[in-house]
Amino acid sequence: MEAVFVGRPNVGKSLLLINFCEYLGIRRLGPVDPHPKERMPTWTPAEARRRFVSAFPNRVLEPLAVAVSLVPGGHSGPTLVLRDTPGIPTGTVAEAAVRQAVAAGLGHLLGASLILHVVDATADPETDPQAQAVDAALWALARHLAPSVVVANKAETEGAVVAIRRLREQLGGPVLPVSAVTRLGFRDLKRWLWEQFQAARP
Amino acid sequence: MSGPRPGDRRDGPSQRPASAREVLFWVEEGRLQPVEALTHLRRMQAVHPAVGPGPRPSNPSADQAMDELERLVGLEPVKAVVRELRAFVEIQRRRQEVGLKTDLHTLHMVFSGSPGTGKTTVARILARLLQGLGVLPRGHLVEAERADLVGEYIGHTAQKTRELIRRALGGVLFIDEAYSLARGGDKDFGREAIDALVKAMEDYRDQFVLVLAGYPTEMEWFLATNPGLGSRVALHLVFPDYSPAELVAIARQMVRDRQYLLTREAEAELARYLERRGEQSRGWAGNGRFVRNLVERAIRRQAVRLAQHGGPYSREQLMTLTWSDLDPEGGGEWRRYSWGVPT
Repeated sequence: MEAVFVGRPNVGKSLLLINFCEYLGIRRLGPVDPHPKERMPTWTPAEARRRFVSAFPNRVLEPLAVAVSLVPGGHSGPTLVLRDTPGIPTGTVAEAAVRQAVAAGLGHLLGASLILHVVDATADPETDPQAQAVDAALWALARHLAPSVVVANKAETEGAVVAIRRLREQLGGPVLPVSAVTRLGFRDLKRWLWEQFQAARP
Repeated sequence: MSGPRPGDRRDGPSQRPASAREVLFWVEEGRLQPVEALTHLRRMQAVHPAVGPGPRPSNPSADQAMDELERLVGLEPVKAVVRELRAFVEIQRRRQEVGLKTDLHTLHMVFSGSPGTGKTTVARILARLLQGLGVLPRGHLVEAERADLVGEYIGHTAQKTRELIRRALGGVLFIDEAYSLARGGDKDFGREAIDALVKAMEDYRDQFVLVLAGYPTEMEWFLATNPGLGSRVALHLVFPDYSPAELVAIARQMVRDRQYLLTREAEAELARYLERRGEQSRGWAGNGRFVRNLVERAIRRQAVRLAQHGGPYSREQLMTLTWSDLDPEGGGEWRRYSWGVPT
């Protein structure tokens, strides 16, 4: 099963994924290995943060995907793959590599079993109607594809409470306030994933 | 900076993507904004719900072949005929299921078009499509030309042709430059091959599909002078020459499939070059093979350029093809390729 993190650029998808994995007790992050015999590079959470997190949009062209176990302390048993995707830009991007990565990310979205739609709780929707249009279209698609939740990142900041209330009204779906930096709301996120995971398993 | 921007819709008026795969493809090409892509994907989900029984059972291998066909640049008339063919075959199957009379007549075809317009590629996809639809059990493609059919002494030709047809049973027999079978006049052994083909088309009518391919004018003459063949051909697919814009799109697709990227300048220059060539000479102008050779040579020249420049190389450098790599008039190595037209 795959839970896919989607959202616009720079909302904090990568940092959220890495820190959430660290919260779950994963010590080495690496791509989900398609060939068990091949050694793929892995990173510690600190290395991954240096590599995948930046203040500039569309840095993550080959996003992380990490297999995690939601059972406490268990390294065996059923795993869930948490997959990062490149941020969905508001317009067409000039670099072909970015476009290719975005298209690949949309492909993963279509195949997702669970969708975490990450939004920036500090962004004011009035100032950027284009960005709001992307989020609205993404949410409309996501909730149709698979069990989805809106993850309002940067919830530790001032004004986030108002923003989150507004999000709940606008989107009409579950909204989880989290903070990738302070790890606020990680328990709720884990519970949501666990419940959906249990419900979706045959 | 001049030249087409990724956001430009170069392929004519705004069309709607037909499949989710096409949406992703267009995003990659920069023809579709991500937000539009999301809307299209949402619309498609509404039409084809992900869960629950659909109105028609999905047919993965046929769908895959169809997708591959739709991915090909241009070739609209060909795609239209193949779509019709698919619908026809599927409805005939349905009729069969409920005990109605079916008319699954033979599906032998003629492909007419200049060299490098995608005839072999389409034949290969078609073979798989027909397999997916349950018309052909094996769905393989046997490619042949005059030399594979025509023998050296009396009796040899019939034997060679029969052998070839035996190999093609369950799949598609693709005869390139088919008109050359009739070119030698009445005493030529090509006649014998044609007679053997006509007989096989009758004897094994449901067991293989014959595709006769060649230049449009020659094929017309060939079918007119061999009514036995012509009357047994059900479908006639016309492969138009590629326009310069389509050739650029082909180059882009080839480059991407090989995990390279074209700079914007290279794309713009290539478009300008092809435009100029097209005006000067018709005939080879719409040739996909020419573009393929160009791209393959550009990849070699990029390697030489980078090796001379010395490392370390960034990922981007390793992927980027510039116009200096692509330029058909630069570099001395070019002559060997004889403009990509088979001699």
